[in-house]
Amino acid sequence: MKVPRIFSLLGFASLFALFLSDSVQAENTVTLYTQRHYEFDEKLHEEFTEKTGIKVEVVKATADELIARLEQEGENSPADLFMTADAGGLDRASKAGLLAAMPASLLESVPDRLHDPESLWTAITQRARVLAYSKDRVKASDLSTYEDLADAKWKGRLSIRSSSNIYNQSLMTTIIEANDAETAEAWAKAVRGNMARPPQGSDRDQIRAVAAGLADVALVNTYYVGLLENSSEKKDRDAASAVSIFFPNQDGRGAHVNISGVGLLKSSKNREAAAKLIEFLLSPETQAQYPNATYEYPVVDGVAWSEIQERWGKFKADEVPLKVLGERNAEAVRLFNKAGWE
Amino acid sequence: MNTVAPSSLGSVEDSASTGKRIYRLNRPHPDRWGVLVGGVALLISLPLLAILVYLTQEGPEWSHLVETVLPTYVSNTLILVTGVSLVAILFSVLPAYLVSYYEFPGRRLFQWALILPLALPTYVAAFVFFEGPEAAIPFLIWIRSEFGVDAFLAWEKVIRYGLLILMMGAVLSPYLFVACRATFQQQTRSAIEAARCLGMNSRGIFFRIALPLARPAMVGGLALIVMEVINDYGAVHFFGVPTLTEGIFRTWFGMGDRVSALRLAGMVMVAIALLLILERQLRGKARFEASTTSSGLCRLIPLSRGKGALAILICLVPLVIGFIYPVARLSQWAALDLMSDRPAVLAASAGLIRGLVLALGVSVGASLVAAVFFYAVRLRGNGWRLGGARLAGLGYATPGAVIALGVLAVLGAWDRWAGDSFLPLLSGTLFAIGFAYFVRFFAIPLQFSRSGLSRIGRPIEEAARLSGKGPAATFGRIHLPLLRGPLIAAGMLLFVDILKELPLTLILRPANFETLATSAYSLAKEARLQACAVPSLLIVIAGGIGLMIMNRWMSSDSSHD
Amino acid sequence: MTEPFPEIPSRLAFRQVSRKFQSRELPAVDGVSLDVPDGEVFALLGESGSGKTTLLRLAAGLETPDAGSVWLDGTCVAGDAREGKDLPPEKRRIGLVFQDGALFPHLNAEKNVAFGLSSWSREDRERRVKECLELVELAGFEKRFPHELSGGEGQRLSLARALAPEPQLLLLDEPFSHLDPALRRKLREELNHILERVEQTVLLVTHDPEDALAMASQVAILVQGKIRQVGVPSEVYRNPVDRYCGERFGPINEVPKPGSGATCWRRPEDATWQAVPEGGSDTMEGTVCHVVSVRPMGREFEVRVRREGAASDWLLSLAEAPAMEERGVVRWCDRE
Repeated sequence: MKVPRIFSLLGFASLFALFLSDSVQAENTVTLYTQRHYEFDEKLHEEFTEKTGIKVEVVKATADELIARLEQEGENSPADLFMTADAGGLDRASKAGLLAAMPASLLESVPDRLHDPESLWTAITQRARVLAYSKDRVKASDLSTYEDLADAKWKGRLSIRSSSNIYNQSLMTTIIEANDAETAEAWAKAVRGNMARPPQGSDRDQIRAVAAGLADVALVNTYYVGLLENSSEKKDRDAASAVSIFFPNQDGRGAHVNISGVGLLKSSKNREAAAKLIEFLLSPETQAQYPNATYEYPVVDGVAWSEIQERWGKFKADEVPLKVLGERNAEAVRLFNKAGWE
Repeated sequence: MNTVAPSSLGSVEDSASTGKRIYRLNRPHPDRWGVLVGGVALLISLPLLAILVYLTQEGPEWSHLVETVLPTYVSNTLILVTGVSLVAILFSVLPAYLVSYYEFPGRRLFQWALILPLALPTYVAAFVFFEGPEAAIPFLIWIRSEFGVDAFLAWEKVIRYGLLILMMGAVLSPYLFVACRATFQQQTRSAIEAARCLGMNSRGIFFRIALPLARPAMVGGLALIVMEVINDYGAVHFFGVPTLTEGIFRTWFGMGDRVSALRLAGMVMVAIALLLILERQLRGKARFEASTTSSGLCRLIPLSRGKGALAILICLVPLVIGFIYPVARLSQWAALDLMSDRPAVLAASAGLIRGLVLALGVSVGASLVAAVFFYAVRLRGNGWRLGGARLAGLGYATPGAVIALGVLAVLGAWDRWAGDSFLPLLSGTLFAIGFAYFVRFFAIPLQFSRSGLSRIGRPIEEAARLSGKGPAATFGRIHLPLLRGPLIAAGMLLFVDILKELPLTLILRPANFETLATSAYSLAKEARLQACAVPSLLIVIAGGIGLMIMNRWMSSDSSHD
Repeated sequence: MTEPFPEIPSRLAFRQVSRKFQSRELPAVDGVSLDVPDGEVFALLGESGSGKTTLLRLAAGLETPDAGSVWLDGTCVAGDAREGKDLPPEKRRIGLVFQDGALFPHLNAEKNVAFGLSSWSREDRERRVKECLELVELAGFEKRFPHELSGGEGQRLSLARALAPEPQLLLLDEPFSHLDPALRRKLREELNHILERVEQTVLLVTHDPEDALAMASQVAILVQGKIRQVGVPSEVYRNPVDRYCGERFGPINEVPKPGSGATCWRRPEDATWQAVPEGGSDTMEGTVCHVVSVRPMGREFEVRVRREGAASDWLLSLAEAPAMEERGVVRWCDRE
């Protein structure tokens, strides 16, 4: 009997498989594993390619999924850079030993607090987690701190998303850091009790809930208000105009500010190109684009804010070391679990 | 599709032909087939084994989990599973029965259109239906002002859970519809005719004959639905109803306890298996496989005007909720996006072709491998078959993200070993993701091959063997052509499933690789609903075409009987 | 439209009934008129595709006639007179035994039999189930499920289920076709015995002439949807209207009627053979033939003889074997 048909079929199948295993990497590319999922980022990458001739290959997933993938891929990973929308992810990646130090010269323009002391990662944008309150039903003088949200006067008036969201988890780490675990748990429990409805949806949906009159105060990242205000849908713009922004804890430690950041991977085979991309992202020209495109705050000093950010005004930011956000993340989730905040 | 996963999970169905003792004609190359079966089985089981290692271990957060959130996850999962199952039964069994036995306007249309909701991923349906709770806000505020906070909270929960259950029930009901339709049209006809002759009215026939006889098919369809509900992570997240799957992700990624997360995943799998075994026990001695007299003569009972209208309504409700409304809304958004100055569809379209090719390639490949695999298994006897089927079912019952990590572990090991040799590195390639699809969905083509092969009688096979063809030639010349219908149907269902697949794709995809599902999801995450509508709609269209082809081959297959 | 058939005394009657399926070119049933008298066992005999099963399903109400009418006990149940509102099967009081039994696989024997008795009182139902199971000699099998019964037991249970509601007409659709010959014969006898006791009107559909001859009081032969011949078993056996009908029941010989150009039909066993001695007289009564082949068939010999000058051979069934090439005369005895 000659080669039976099934084996030729299997042969074809493996050929197909080989065709798909296009692991060959072009020299002039940089591979980026990122948690950020903004159209604007794609535009930046195109701009970068135009400028330098280096192509940017992107894999998008959540930070922890990407970390798991990097760990499994090991030193054979095609990735050069790891980018997150939160400081915790960067800290966990560096704890997992995935990151390599980048040339310190790159980070000269970044304030010390916003990059890793060993240059394992750096922030590229900042985002503040603030209160969006109803212009009609709440006076700014009623608001003060995150801790104050536990007060009984907010019973049935708060709207906050699920605790599985990383922004809430990061905020929680700073509550723990500034107080202690017990206080933080009691705080979470009380805040959950004050919520108008069980946590659901995104930060946008919390703002909409306030605009619709379901709740009076929402806990959101600043840029969501910017996005709604500049949305193509009238419904969104109306929602944004119904709320004002309040930066909490201005008399104390300051408002919680998280970062979006990037780290160089140990597995990187293309460090030069990777460094160029970081340099590009931190350049004053690029930094100046963020405030107007994604409504995030720049990390480099001397870059102008967007009009809407100016309107929100200057604020005092919590200067807790960013690695706390990563270190205390598990504890934060545990406390949320105990407090019954879904 | 009617019997895809359940039996492969629980145990192997003793249909008339599989119940027979397998006897073997002389096997000149026994090892070749054994190696083939073993090889495929090993390939599939490796990623699962890489995960199952953790089942017996206790992670650091396990007791914390049990004390705090696990009860909520379990109760939410149970509520969803029960509710969605009930809705799906309501939305599928009666319509399947009506289109099988009664004549009313639109019957032919409903016969295939009721499959269409399957083309809609639950996470897409979720963001369409999430407008519901938003629209209900004024009503809820009124409730709060009139009746107080308790009433408000109760109503809020009812609306949110209710909409989620209704939406998922409608979108997932085709699994049950197809299973029931096949049973009603092929197996229960003579029993129903006998019952009519014995003076039973139509209501009695439905409840006393049709329903009990459709039970195995219903269990099959329901098992698929239950697994889909448990595996879902987009829709439940949107609606703020954390289930066990969310628990798995939260434990793993939020608390960094991989062991506890995997243990949770393992327990979910075990629970599903137990459920199926329990059903089997409860069934007792009674059998449900009615004889299949498909005389080809079938008379549909005409319905009066009023009853016809009612029948139309019964069929229309699931179709509207599960397909027409969401698709209409998506089309509206998509149109807005296409008219805008920077349509998102253009930005996303570049990588899409590769995604489609991959989905099609894996579908075709897995279907063929499944046919060969099951044929080889059949040559080897019963024990193998049981093991093989169980193994494949395991992949289907495992959350996509868990499989993705298993695949990463296996391919990572390969890469370390292949390291500096000429062998290709596999992590982060299309091969990795194709392989993961294969592991996750192999149960589908396997099940189709199994039922297809069991219909090809032993005599045909023996006649081929006696005329001098070896097993391989017999397969190529006899079985493969005869299996064309089931394999095409399986391939198409696989294609639709891969098209919709999300968590696994997100984790494993190579750089710059977008599927329709991932671009729909990331746009939905940015809450760019209009832009998101375009890829979502494309999934629905491609999936709808796939389902149509599947349906055609499934029905043409049954008419050959 | 005036009542076209003012009086129909038979239990079941078809009048000009036709039924055509879209998938086939010829009608399955083509203008059939037929009467099944009260208390009789009526057999419909035909090849597969002859329309016999369709006719039975028309009687049961599982099919609707395209034209003509179906009458049960003097009432029109389907057809023109009912203006499209046929009496549904569940209202016809008909028992039907399916080819494969069509037992409800999820119900045990007892519940299968009780299925059609839901409107009966509890005691009556229990009594009737017991009675019927005893009638078909399945007492003691009450709790068995269909798949735990043998083929013959299954068919008997199916019969019990059909008989339980005391139907005005019993339809049997190839009830033995799934059984082996020995079991078939046995079940046929049992069924005969049972039907005699209950005095049931029966329409039996079969492709097996033995079933028809052994059970029926009247037989109709159906060819391509049309009735070719109706008669009592001996009539259709002895006097077929044509070769096709004759051959339904085994080999048959066409014999010229002496003195006329007409022919008649004779069965092999109707012949006697007498050898003509060597050089013997040609004056012996009968037709002179010579033996072409002899085939032992157990009890008898099947002998093929050739007539001088005739186109076709005759087939005789003889108790003693003649010698090959032997010359002799065939005489046909008239058994009518």
